[in-house]
Amino acid sequence: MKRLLDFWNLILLGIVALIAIFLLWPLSQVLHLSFLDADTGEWTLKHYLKILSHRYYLTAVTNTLLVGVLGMLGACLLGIPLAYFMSRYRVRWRPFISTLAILALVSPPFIGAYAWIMLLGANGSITNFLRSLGLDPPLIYGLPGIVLVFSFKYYPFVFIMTEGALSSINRSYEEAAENLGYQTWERFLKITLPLAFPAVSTSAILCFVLSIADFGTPSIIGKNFRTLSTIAYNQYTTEMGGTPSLAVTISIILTIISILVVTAQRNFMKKRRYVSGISRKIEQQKPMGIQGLLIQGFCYLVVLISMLPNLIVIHTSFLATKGPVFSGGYAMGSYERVWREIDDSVANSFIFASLAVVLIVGVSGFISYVIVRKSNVWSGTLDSLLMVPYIVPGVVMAIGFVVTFNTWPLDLVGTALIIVLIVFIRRLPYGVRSTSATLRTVKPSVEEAAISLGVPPSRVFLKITLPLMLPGLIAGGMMSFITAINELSSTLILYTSSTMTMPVRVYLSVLDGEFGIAAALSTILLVSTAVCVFTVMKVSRSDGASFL
Amino acid sequence: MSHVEVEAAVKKYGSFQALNQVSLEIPSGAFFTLLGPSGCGKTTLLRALAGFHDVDSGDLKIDRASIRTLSPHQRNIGMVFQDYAVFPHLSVEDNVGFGLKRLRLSNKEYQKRMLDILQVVQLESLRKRMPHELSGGQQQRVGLARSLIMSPRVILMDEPLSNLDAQLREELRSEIRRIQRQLGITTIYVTHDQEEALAVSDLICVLNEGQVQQTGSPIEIYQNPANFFVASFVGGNNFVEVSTLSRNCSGQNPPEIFRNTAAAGWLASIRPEQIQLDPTKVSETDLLLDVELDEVNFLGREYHLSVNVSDNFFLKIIIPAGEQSSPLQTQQPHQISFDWRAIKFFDPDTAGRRVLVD
Repeated sequence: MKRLLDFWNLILLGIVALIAIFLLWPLSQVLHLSFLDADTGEWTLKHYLKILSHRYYLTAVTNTLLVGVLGMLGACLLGIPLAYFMSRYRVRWRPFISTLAILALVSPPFIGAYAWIMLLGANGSITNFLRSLGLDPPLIYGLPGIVLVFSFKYYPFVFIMTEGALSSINRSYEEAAENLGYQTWERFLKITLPLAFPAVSTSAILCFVLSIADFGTPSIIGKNFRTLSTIAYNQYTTEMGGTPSLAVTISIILTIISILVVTAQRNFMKKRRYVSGISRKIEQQKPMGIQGLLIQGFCYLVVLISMLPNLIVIHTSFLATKGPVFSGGYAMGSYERVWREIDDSVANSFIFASLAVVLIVGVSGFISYVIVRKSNVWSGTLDSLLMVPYIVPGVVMAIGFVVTFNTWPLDLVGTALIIVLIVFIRRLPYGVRSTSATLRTVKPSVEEAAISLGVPPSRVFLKITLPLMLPGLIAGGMMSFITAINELSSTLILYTSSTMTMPVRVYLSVLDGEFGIAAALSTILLVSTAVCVFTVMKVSRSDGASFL
Repeated sequence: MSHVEVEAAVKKYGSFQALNQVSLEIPSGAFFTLLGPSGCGKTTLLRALAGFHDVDSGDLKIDRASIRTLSPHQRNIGMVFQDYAVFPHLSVEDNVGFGLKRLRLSNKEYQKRMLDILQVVQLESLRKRMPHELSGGQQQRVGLARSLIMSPRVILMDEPLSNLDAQLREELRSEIRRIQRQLGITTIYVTHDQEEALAVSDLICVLNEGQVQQTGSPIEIYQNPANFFVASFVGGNNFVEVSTLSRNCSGQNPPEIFRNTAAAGWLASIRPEQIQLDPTKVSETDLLLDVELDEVNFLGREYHLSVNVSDNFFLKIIIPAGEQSSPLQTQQPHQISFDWRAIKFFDPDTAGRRVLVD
């Protein structure tokens, strides 16, 4: 018993060290630099004062909040009705709808922006069509475009989490409300929505945080509409070589906004924990008549529109090109060019993401066990610390890595390792969350039973705990792989010509007007992402459910 | 078959005293039940014996040797869990054989022990099934077989029946008792259900607030409770202050204690089934009370009644339903009687300790 405890303490120590070095240290460096006068080496507030007194920066702050709030609202407006309809009505082709929503969620982040430009931009196909009818349609650039992209990109979070909550609400609550004289609509507002509110607000805040952290979308579609993450990146590239004082200060402000919003939501939710006893499953209604038609129409429309960017990208990738210009007709030219011209970015992406996922899976197994089974002050702290990578935008994290790991003994800037490590630390929470959720469903008495049969603890971990955790580990690993291979905001700062990844190459190609190559690379990303999505669905359906 | 001793065991969680100087001796082969309300320390003691946590002080011994320093997997103590803890990814057979596999028995020996135990718990036909294909009762049989197959020195059962429905609970409870007798294995059984404890045990230990209240056979515990807690926790009971009782009753030869002013504040207890409704013959040690029928519950085999003696003085009565020729009506006057020699007295000033009266 004693020795086992020591073993786990050692593991805990290792995990804490890992997080301290690769998460807390870079972030503290960013914080430090934002208060440092690079010329005199003294403490100063001048960077903050400069940002808070210049309209250029202040506009970026308000723009960021605007993008966050509107993106969040847009995602809720699409996601909540979709979740309600899917949980309460027998909508046809449900798996089709869920699958499309998940695919929209995991597709590379900037594809949306660039595909919407191809539809509604200055030379977009819909724009051109409307112009041929003599109309003058509004263009998509700026705030409307960003909000449109974020709404259709992030609504699946709201949909998936809210649907889960709505489906698990005890049917008796709604029946009781009905029995007390509440009509459908009233009942939804007074009973159903409040009970689902923890899930709704958690997913909404997630949309907010992702919206303000996103770099690719505002930078591609925003034109002159700048947010904190785009100016942090621009500032960083102009300060390159010197001390990135303003870039880190902007980063800190961006991070503070995220932290404030997430903490506010968490505190608000603390008082609203609902415990429900025996759960009776919700009975789904058959959608009838015009109402039923509208309900189903809404569901299909939302998921199809959100899939539109992906379809356009795949379509574009097969268009014949001549140099960067589309020459009409279909051909495999873009793929050929990827094969011939493009450096190692395809291989790099797969190698980096795979290495990061191997690390993530290994470490999340241990972290989850410590968090779930060895609850003490340290494991509680660990649990909270793992929220940090969710909250801190990729640009900020990357700037932190650059300013921290540039000297001996950890001189990593420019290496492939730094990219693997940043992806690892940024996506670790996905692995841990999935694994610990699975482990929580495994009752501790199962392990105790094995021990009481005379099996030593290490063997119990191997024979009982690990097999029962496996579905969570695989799903978590796949989720981290999906997000790792699509990573742009941090790698854009850390890449060199030899460590170029696919998303970076797509981004640069879009900027260069090489839409054919961008589309072909994006399609490769999409396909590998889709393969992972189907693996996750297979694993969690065949094993996860039957283990409960 | 092993002998278990608990010596002055103490366990604290912060300021909460889960075990307070608990000492017990469990004879070889006994079916020993720890009975008490939730939070009384029974599960704490059980898990300390299993080794899932240690006690703060005191000792735990099996066959005179301390087990405190042994790791849980070295103790050879079987455990049956409230939530069954059947390994969800293993079949019935693999669950039952999980501990046995490590012993590297010959295949013949392994199969023999497997078959024997599956027969004992009546699971032969389900040996290939997965846990999610089993009912709660069947899962608990797997849990039982899994620990029995190891021939443990002692088997611990932590409320093994509390997640089952009433009828199944009674069925499985007599089966556990049958298996325990058949194998003669020392069993420590935890429950908060006093009826269950009375039905299965050789010995019952009543625990409250981390302290042993009384240890004895089911009959002793029921008929001779050592204090107010045991009298009120085990079986239904009526309590009334001695002064109130003596004011409201008549009898040819009432007990002397009714005239003792020092005893006026004591509590007198009488079991509901020891009270007669409308007695046909009255002996000289009987007390008689005039009452009004307040509540009538017909339970088929018997009536559960509540009668009103005077303001705020009610008594519960259980009588066989067969003795009543016509249905009982509330608010009717009746007479009740009971033998005062059956009354137990408890002194609230000494934490409800029983006072013996000649």
